[in-house]
Amino acid sequence: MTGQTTPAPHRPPRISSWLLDLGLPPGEHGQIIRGDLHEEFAARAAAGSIRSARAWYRRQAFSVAATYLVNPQKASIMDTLRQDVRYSIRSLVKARGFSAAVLTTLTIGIGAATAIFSVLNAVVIRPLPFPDADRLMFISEYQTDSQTGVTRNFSASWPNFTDYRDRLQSFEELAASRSATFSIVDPENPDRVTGRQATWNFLHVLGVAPAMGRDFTPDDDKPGAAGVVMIRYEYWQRQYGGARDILGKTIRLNGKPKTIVGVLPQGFAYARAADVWEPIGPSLQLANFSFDRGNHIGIFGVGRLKDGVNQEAASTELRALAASLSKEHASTNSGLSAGLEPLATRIVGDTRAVLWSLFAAVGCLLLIACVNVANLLVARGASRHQEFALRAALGGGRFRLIRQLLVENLVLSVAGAALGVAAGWTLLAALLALAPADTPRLAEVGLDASAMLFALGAALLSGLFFGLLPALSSSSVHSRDVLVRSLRAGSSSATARVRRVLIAVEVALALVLLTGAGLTLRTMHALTAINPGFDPNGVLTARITVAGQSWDEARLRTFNRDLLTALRAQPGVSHAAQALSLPVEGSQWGSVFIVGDKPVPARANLPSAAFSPVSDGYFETLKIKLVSGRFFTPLDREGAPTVTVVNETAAARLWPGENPIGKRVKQGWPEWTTPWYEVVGVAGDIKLNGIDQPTPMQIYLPMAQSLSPAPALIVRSSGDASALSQSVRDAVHRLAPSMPIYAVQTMDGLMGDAVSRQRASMTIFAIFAVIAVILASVGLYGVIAYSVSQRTHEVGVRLALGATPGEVLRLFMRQGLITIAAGLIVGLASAIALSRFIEDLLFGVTPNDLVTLWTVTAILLMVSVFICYLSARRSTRIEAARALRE
Amino acid sequence: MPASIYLGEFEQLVLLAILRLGAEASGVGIAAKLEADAGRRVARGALYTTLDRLEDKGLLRWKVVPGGDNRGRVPRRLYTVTPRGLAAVRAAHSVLRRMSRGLEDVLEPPRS
Repeated sequence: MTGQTTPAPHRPPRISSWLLDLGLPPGEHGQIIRGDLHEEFAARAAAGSIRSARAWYRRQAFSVAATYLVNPQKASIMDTLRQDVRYSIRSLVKARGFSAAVLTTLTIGIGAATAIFSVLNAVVIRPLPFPDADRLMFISEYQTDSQTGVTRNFSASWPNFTDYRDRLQSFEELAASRSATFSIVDPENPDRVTGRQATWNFLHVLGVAPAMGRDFTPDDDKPGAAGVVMIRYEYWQRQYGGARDILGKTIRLNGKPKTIVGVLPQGFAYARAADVWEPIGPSLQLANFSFDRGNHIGIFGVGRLKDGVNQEAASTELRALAASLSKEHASTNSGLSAGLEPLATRIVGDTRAVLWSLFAAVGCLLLIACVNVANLLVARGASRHQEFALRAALGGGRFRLIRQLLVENLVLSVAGAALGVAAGWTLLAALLALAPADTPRLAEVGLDASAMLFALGAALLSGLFFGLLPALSSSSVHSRDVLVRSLRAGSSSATARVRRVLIAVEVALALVLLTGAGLTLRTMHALTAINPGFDPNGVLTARITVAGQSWDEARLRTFNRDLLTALRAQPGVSHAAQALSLPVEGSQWGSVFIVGDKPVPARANLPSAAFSPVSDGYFETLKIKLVSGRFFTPLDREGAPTVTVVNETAAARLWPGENPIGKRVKQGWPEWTTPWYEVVGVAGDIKLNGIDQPTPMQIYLPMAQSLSPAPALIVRSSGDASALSQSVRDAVHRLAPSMPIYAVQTMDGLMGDAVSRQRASMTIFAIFAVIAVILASVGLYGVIAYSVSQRTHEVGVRLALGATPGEVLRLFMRQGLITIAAGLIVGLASAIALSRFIEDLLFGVTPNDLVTLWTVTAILLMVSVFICYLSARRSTRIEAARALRE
Repeated sequence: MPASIYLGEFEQLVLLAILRLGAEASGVGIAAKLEADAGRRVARGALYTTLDRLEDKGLLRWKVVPGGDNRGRVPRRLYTVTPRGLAAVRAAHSVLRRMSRGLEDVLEPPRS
């Protein structure tokens, strides 16, 4: 770096010099002692032999270092450190612009990384908040179609579950639960709450006890037991203001009085948080086929593995049991199997991939921030060459200089960590607001100790690792540099090379992030461009639930008819209808079925479809296309011939090349005595399960022939849909004052929710990419501008010899463009390699989408060439005469 | 002066060397003086920590003067003995004198 080859004459031994650095008291005192030793060394060398002088120096250096280290009268290493810190703060305050740039960069990088890490840690990394949560397994049943190989996941049937519970040896205990929603029937305050029905031992399996009151007992779980419930802590606070006398109070769940016996612990949630828990036993009745082995009633098992049993062994045992059950009960279980997975895996689900992708993205951003800081440090190191050379000349050893620089970097890092945590706090709030509402474990997210530790670790690592490189490169100075290289000493070619490599790395990382942003942007575009098969504009949706003993079928039918009549009479309403399932929101009823004119396949190969009871006017309200036949009319009522409308997918798959009108289907297993439905019409496909999922076979039934106690209302407005919400509420309450009406939402809002995961990832990627481009641009500008200022003299010579400003500009442009090109090539390769990791986030675009890759490359190229030009243009303002004089 | 100020032997020698050097008592000078006149090898670690200790006791003070080319222009310290330091040396010396009185025959080397 300095071109030094032979040692200066009378140079004291180097190792002893280092030793002195270590031991000498700080500041001037130490320097004076060093000066004394140096003076005497020089005198001895001049008078006698250089060898004896060096021997003397070694001895004395050891004596001084040892004495001061052993007997730190005036100074210790701690004192030196304290002094280094004080000196660092002073010099950082003096270099205000530099410090501000570094701290801003670190704040952004560490803040963003800390926020994302907090979410990742809470949702994915941290074990579920149950004791020995890794031993909890989730059990579901599945069936694989022997022809298509498609695996269908099922909930368990009650008899199957009891067999698992009684016969499996791998588990200490097995419980089951299903999610539910309850109506709180209360004329004052009708409400709709999320709930869960579970076997009595459910909490026990999880290892959780109620915060107040008692857990369920086996007696609570028997059919016909007096109804008891436990409520969620947060529900207790919200609904009852945390009243201490809550135990023993009665709550009218679906019109039936239930006694509150317990309050769940604060923050307790299983999958989605449920406000009210009740034992499942009383709800299982012969009447609703609950004990039918072929009826999968929505329950999933949770078991705690015995000590010494691993997931593999338990899984093998479960599969073996399922296989023997399918032999014992061939009529219901043939082709059916069961599997298990860790509970945490099941609960976190898809969110895992999203969060890891975002963490990788924020890792890129943090890396860019670090590179930028390293770049700034190298630049500062170069401009401080004079200072270091002077200190070296005064006897400040290399070790001491490196230590000083490291301390400076650490001071910066710690300050950056503090600011980063503050920024992370703010960002986390924004992230939580952006996160889809159904993100699991969201309530557990917070900026906790591990996030702080992460921030500090990130800061220290970036400070040490990325600070060491500039420290090493800028401390390799020699005292002679003061005289020899004078003021231009800073433009060491090695330093410049390091900075160019750093910029290329930044450009590459920025390209990777831009690619991520581009891909998620195209995903969003593809999702919003999808034709959902219906017209969502001007449609308002809501749900009501009919509950209570007084609601028999006849009353429900009358109510439905009256409600639709009332809604359609509302001013501003052009159409109104009811349906069990709402488009996009998802199917509420999936079932196997039998096709009348086709051979009945094996149980595992039975077709399944989304069954959708809808009222008359449903298709007209949503403006769904009629492909052939007719839609439902008010005449398709109870007692009339049972009819159905199928969607195009079902028609094409069930009766390819045939006219589906007049064909017949029957819901359920072959042995069931459900009615045959005659196909009267074919409707166009709509997006049913979210926007990104393919449309399943759909079988619409007239609601009058297949009553639902919890229908959705669909109202088309002639104007603004959201303006209708009050009049819809009023219409419902006039007919049934204590009926809860909930989930009032426009169809547009519903569709927005369906893509909230993709929108959140897109927003975060886009923000990161913009920050990355800005940071890389700042770095690029700095490097080229610096290079221009360092080569002013050279430019002066060139201009004096006849070069045009244009040629000079090209000189600097070329230097910048080579760096950019290298960065883009590396970035493109990395983007192609890395983008498949976000494949799970994408829709309608492949990870290596050429359009995206070329577009982001072009954008980055344009931006960086522009920045390059802006900074290189400074060279054209150099005047030859002045440059040479300087 | 309180009699509590006790001076070690090396401390006495260092203070005496400074007094002998007058206005020119630098670290290098003191070491050279001790080695030449006291005839003993001086470990620089011991010398500098002793100087620090004497300063702490208020027995000497120093000023910084610019250094010459022979020491890379690093400044140097010139030490002077404070009145308190002088009193301590005097006290030590008088103790020595009192204790040696009457022992001249023993202490003085026989003259040939």
